[in-house]
Order: sequence, then C-alpha cells, then structure tokens
Amino acid sequence: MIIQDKIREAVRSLLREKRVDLVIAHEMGTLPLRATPCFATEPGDAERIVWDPSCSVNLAAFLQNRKGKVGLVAKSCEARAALVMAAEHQFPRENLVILSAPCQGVVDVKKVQRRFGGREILAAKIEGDKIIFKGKDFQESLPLTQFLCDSCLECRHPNPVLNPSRDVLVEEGSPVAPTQADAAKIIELEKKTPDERWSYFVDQFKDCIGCNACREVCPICYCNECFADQTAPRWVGKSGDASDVLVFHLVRTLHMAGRCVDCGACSRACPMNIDVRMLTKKMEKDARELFAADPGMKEGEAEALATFSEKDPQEFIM
Amino acid sequence: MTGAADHTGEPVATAAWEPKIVAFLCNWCSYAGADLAGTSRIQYLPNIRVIRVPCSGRVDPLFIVKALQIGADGVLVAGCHPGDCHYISGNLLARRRFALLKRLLEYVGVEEGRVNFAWVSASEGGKFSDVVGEVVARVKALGPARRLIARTSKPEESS
Amino acid sequence: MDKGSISDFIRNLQKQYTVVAPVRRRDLILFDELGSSDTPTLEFANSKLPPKGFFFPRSETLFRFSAKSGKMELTPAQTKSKPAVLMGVRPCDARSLVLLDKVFMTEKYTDTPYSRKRANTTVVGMACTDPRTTCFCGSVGGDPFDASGIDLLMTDVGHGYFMEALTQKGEKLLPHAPKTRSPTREELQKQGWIKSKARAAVERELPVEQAETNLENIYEDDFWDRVAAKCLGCGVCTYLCPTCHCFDITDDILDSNGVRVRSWDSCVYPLFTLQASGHNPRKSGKERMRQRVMHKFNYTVKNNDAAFCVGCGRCVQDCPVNLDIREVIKAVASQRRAALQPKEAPT
Repeated sequence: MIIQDKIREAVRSLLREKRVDLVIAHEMGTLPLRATPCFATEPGDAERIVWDPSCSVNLAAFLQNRKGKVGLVAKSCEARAALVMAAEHQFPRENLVILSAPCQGVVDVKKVQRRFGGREILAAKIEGDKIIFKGKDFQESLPLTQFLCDSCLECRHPNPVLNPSRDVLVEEGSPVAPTQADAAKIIELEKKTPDERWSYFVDQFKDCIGCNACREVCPICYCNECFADQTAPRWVGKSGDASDVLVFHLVRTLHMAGRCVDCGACSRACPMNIDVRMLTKKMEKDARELFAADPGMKEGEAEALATFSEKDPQEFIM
Repeated sequence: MTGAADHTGEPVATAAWEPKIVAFLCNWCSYAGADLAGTSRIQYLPNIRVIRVPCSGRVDPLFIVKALQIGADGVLVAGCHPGDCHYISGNLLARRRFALLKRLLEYVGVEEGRVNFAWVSASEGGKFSDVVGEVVARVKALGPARRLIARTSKPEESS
Repeated sequence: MDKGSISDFIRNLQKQYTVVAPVRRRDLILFDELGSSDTPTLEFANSKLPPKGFFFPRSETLFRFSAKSGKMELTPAQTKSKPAVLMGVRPCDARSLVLLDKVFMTEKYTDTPYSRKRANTTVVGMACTDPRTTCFCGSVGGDPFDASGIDLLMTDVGHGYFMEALTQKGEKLLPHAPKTRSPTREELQKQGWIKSKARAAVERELPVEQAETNLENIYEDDFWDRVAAKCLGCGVCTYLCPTCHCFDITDDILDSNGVRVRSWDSCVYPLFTLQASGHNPRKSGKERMRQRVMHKFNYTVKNNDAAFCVGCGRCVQDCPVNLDIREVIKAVASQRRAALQPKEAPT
C-alpha cells in the first residue's frame, strides 16, 4: 500500500513538472488479480495507478515506437527490459524516466485457475502475504507465494537497479533470495533423455494456435518485420505443420538470447497454457552461464551476443 | 535420395540411404578450404550441399533450424579460426550464437550430432575433407532426420 | 437421460457419427474428436477455443499440388465422409455458427469446405446453467438457453440431462440416447428454476445498440487513440472469438510439392492490410482497433443484421492486457454525448 502511494506521488510530480508527457503504469482492471495498463497524462490521473501483484503486464512493451518523453512505472523486470530497448537504440535513454520500487512478484492467473479447477473467482483481495479468494459458493485464504509466477519465484533481481540521475526509486529494497531454485523446471527437464524432452515439447506446442501473443507482449520482440511474417522467403509456413510452430518458437527464443529478462509475460499471455518460458528461461540460463549475460542490469555494458571474449567456450567446435 | 518410410510414413535408413548435409561455408576461409581440397584432388564425401556465406557470422540460427525443417539430415557451419576472420570478429560473435543454438536444439531433443560447427582455414583442404567425413559419419549414425521436419507440404503417401 | 448413460450415448453415436466434444487437456477445455473409449468433459464453463474451428479450422488444406514431368497435378483436399456430432456447444457458440453461416454460405457464394461440414454435422448444445460474470450473451441478442444453431439441446439438471430435439437432425440422435424417459414434474420445475436463474445471471445491460448508433458519428474522434492505446495487437481476441472469420490463403511449398492453405488471420495484425506497394491503410493500432470495433458492432449489423459478437467473454478473459470489450462498448455508447454536445472544456 505504501509503495503504491509513493509511486502515485512521484507520478504526480513528474507530470506536474512536465518532465514527461506521459506516464505508463498499471491501473485496476476488470478481472480479479489482473491490472491493466493506463496512460497518465495529467497529475490527477495518478490516482488510478496501482502497484501490487496484479500488475502482470510488461509495460516496457508500450515503449515500442514511442516518441517523446515518457515515464514508466516499472517493476524490476520491466525496467531491465526498457534498458535493453534503450541500449538497442529503440529510443533515447534520456527520454525515459523509470519509476520503480522493490517487487514482491506478480500473480500467475493460470495457477489460480488450476488451483480452483476452473471455478470462477469473483473477487480476490491480496492482504499481505495472503490472497483471499471469493467464488460463488466458496471463500478461501491462501498464501500469495502459491500463485506467483515461476519467473517471480526465481527472480534474482527483485530490487531494481536504476540510474539515480534519471530515474525515481521510491523505496530502497533489502536483498531477498529467490524462493524457487533458478530455472527449476528447466533443470528438471534437462535431466530427462532427448526422446523424453522431444515428446514434452511436441506435446506442449501441439496446441499452439500461432496467435503471436507471446511475441507481442514481449517488449524485446519489437522488430517491425518479424522473421515469422516475412513472405520472401517465407520462413514460417501457415499450414499448421507442427514443425512450423517449433521453428517459430525456437528461432524467436534464439533471437532473444542474451536479451530476455525473464519477466514471464510470454507464458502468462499464452491462451493455450503453453509454458513458453520453458524455452526462454533455458536460453536466459545458458546465456548467463556461458557469457555472464544479465540484460538491463548495467547501463552501458555491451549485450552478451553483441560482444565476444577470446576465452569463449569452443569445445563444441570441431 | 530420401530413404524409405516406415509404416507410419516416417523416414528410416536403408542400406542405401545417404544423409543430406547442408554446409554453410564462409567465403574467405572454409569455402576456400573446400576449394583447395578440390584443387588438391583430396576427396571428400558428396553428401554436403554448400551454401556460401560471406562470414560464419552471417549465419542466423534461423537458417540452421530451417535447413533441418526442409530436408537436411544434418548441418555443418564452418568459419575462419578465431583471430582470422576477414571481418575481424564475425566468427567470434557467431561462436557465442552457435554455442547457445547447439544447447537449445539438444535441449528440445534434436539429436546431438545433427548440427555441427568447425573452424577450417583456407589452407586446410585436408581438414575440410576430414570434417565432412566426420559430420557424415555422425549423421549417418543418427539416421534420417525425423524431428523438426515439415510434413504437410510433402505429397501424401498412399498407405 | 441419466448422467451415467453419457458413455453409452456416445458409443451409440460413434457407430454412425464421428463425435467431437469438449475434453480436458493441459488444464484447457478443447473440442476434440473422441476415441472409442474416451468420455467428454461436460461440466465446464466454456471451451478455450470456440467450436468455429471444427468448420473453419485454424489451418485448412484446400488442395495439394505437385509438379510432375512439367505438369502441375492438383489434388483436392479430402473431406471426411462420416457425418459428425458436435457436442457440448454452448448457446453463444451455437449462435456464432448461425452468424458464420451468413458469411460462408451466402446467396451468391457457398464456401465448400465450410458448408460441407455444416451440412454433415449435428450440433448438440449444452444449455448454460451457470454463466460466468464475463458472459454477456443477453446484451447481444443471445441467451443461456437460446436455441439458435442447435439441433439437440441438453440441459444439465444435476442427476441427468434434459434432451430436447429442436430440428430433424436433432431428432435423429434421440434414438441413440439410452434409457431416456419423460421428465417428472419436479424435474421440469427444477429445469425452469435453473433456466430463470441462468437468464438472470448474464449481463443484459450493455448498451450495444447505442454503441452501434454512435459508431456512425465518432469515426474521426481522438477517442480511438485512447481505446487502442493498450492494445498490443497480439491477435488472441480474434482467434478466440467465435465469430471472427478473417483468413489468409498461402501456399506452403517444399521442392516440387505443396499445399494451398487457408489459415486464420487477424485484422489487428499490421500485415493484414499491408499492400504490395508498401502502403498500409490501417498503419497504426488506432485504425485497426477502430476497424475491429466497427466491424463487430456496426458493419456486420448493416450487412448481416446482427452484431458479430455472441457475448461469450473469451476475449475478456484472455486479453493479455485486459482490454475489456465491455468497457469499449460502454465508452463508445457514452461517447455520443461528448460528440453531440457543443465544444466545451474537457471534463
């Protein structure tokens, strides 16, 4: 609650002083535990802003093709994504003011749906470390951590690292260890045989309808012409062939190597309950292990795949 | 030639089956190395289909994945040795990319040995031949590619 | 019919029909063809994907082609000859099929793959006894017990299902239902009570007609910038929508063989209207959002006498940014007052 008030106050000042033309933040949505993006242009708009575990959109996606001075009320992952975009010259860094605070994580609505077997949640109130769920004929209070996204449970950077001369940190955070082992599900999967892994991915992606939600919610996927949409040559066919689905996802993941901040938005967005993160997190983990990639953490540092070291591993090269 | 198909229509190796390997060769080193093998009359296996690129750094992971999709049983990417790249650092950037690509493909279950990388210089005609031989052997042992292959566009098999 | 008889009902049907029904897979409810020992999930809110995919698939091969000795051979796609039963269809989705018929089976044009499947399929509806709060069929001309598009209507009354044949096609299915009997008076009362409760539960107050009228007047308004601001153009709403029907036709070719494919497309994608010259009449999200809303709630009313929205609420549930079409309708409906009032300071 208190952080939310501080954020609102900071947004009010920013808009009053006209340091930015627009502030992108979350406001209350129309569904339980789902905040929705809001675009504040007047100090009075700040009243609507919320900062809580229902803020599940990665707002950095709205920085794509944006002109003018913008404020972004960002969780740490959104801030890092925005900094990756700035480093890649998507907008001048000085046009962006990040307003942030330590994040306790974001609710994965799919975990809620799974827990309640599809029964509709009419209202949900987050109180401290608990969520009180109300349905038509039930009410339950459950721990918040049970419903946080995997990316949040494994988050290594809940406290944002900002530029004090440009950005606004409304509250300092104390170091907090992730509650789930890093890339826990990926490591489990890595233990299986190649045949088992192949079966897993064929099964996961069998239901992919190619809606591109995973791509569109990702702030890092900002190419004006995605390889998947090119027609000359056509890389990704439209016949529904299972291989086309995998080509799309594998190549999209590879194009994000060293740039993905593991915000989890892709998995949250997928309407078919595909855990897209099983690919993107693997990529993030490998880039970190091999090349110390930590996108968006150090302004001015070259991206992992935009640089090299003499000592890069090459035992795989004949 | 494609091998025979089993009762489900999936490709299987016959005694006569020869793998198709797509080889991305960088113009300045590995392509020249392949050329040298030719002019030196060093034999190398005919399974490779060469695609010449200016630099191994030109190779987008998309190409490799796509090659596997449209009928390659294996892929070879060969570039200049680190330090020798005509464009200074193209191969060094590629090295990072390929390391991650290899890991990701193996993670999803594409067999190890389908996608291969090598440094071959313009003077290494012999090495080129050896590399090709090694890659063909690896892919032959794996059999025809079954994972990631396009099926819909193929003519329907009469069963 | 008792709930216990469902399995036998389906086995009986499978002797003559392919049965497609909702199944639970990976925490999703999806329509799928039932195998000889499968049972459907008939207790659910609604399926993730609408049943339109059965008649208008995500990707459909129109024909195959092959270049052989200098000639092109064309092979039309096979259509299943066995008739089908599509079971577990909610009234909103069944109504969507009636709307889609207006597009795919017009006086001048009959879409062959679609119409063949429609003719060959019997729709077994499942009345909505427990609508969600995101359901608003009542605002768009629908109802939880609506009969449109349904051949045989089933109603879950707890221990069993009411089975009402509404068409000749539906009547043909009744003999396959084992151990059916006339309902008792108590059962009829219960059904009536369930019906009125469900009807009261759906949202009926959305100002859809007002929105339709206003859409004539607000085309140039800045209003659309605000509506479209949070749309990311992901396409989920169009793919999950029971009445969205835009498609693309492409050829997928490998060597000298290929297929011509019809696949779902979405008006929210920039490529949708990108022309070969490079010009794009709807080059920003604002124009695409405006078009989408106008198509759904204005153009289709003019062309097809109905808004192309059945109030299923899927887009509300699955939009990644919670862009709620109900809010858009309300905003469009109230926009009129601003447009018609003399210019004042903004409120």
